[in-house]
Amino acid sequence: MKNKIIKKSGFTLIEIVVSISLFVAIMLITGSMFSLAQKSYNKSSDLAELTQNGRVCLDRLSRELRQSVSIITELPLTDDQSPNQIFFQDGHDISQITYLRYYLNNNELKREHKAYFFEDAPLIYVVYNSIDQNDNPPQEIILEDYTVGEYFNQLKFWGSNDLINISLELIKNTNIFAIKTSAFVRN
Amino acid sequence: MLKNNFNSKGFSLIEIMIAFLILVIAFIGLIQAFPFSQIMIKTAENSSKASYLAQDKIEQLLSLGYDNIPVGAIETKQRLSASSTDYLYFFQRQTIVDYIDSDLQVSASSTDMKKISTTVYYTNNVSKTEKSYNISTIISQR
Repeated sequence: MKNKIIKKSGFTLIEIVVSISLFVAIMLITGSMFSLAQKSYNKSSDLAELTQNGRVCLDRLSRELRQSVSIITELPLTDDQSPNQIFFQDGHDISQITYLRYYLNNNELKREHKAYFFEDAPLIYVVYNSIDQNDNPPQEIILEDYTVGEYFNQLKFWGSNDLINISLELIKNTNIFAIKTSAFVRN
Repeated sequence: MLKNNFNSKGFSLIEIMIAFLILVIAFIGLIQAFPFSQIMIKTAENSSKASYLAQDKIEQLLSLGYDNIPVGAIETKQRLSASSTDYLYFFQRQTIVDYIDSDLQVSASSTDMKKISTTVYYTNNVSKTEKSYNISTIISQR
């Protein structure tokens, strides 16, 4: 009688070993699927983010360059030794002389909007390299300075003062996005 | 009685193995979706790059002014970079300028309007075929 009860309930060692090993195998496969899905999601979202950042910044930059009245930065003809910033006169509102500068600061693309004035007439903005009657340069006032895009690794400008080639490269977690275009200054 | 009881509940090892096999096949199907989605993103990325590269050529030509834009095949289809480590190596570009008449039809003789047509070719990574992105613009004598 006692023997019968023991045989009826419970599992043998082999059954337990087999069921545990099956459980472990399923868990391993599910776990690796999960981590693969996670990695793939991260990579996809990084690539999409880089593409988005690159496009937004390049569109904005090229539109403002096209509008510009004059490009002040001296640009080389080829892309070696090209500057990683550009300084130009804003052509959006021509009632006042203001300037824009795009530059890189620790992987961020920044846009600085500034103007120059003489102390005796602070509301009248003047040309950046003008001098007053005592040969003094004007004061600088920063109207805006903010980040336009993140993950920038390289920014290059070259060409002539009519046609500006722009090349940018963005990096996030080993994913790279590089893009190139040019802007013809129409104003 | 004892034997009967033992057989009727639970699964046999064979049943478990078959279930397991079906699960693995389903997982393999799912796993293939991830590289596919990344290839799709890559293709979308190439399509945006191609649009900027086409715009690039149009701007270069527009900067010359109407009179200085040559008519004909300005750029025959060629890679934008000779070095295969450069991403531009994977893009090919072709540019054609034609005179057009007032009905926007291509004209053999000189008119006061030119049409610039730029096509950028890139590889669609999904189907491994060549895709193209074309933009055109019209410039007139001022």
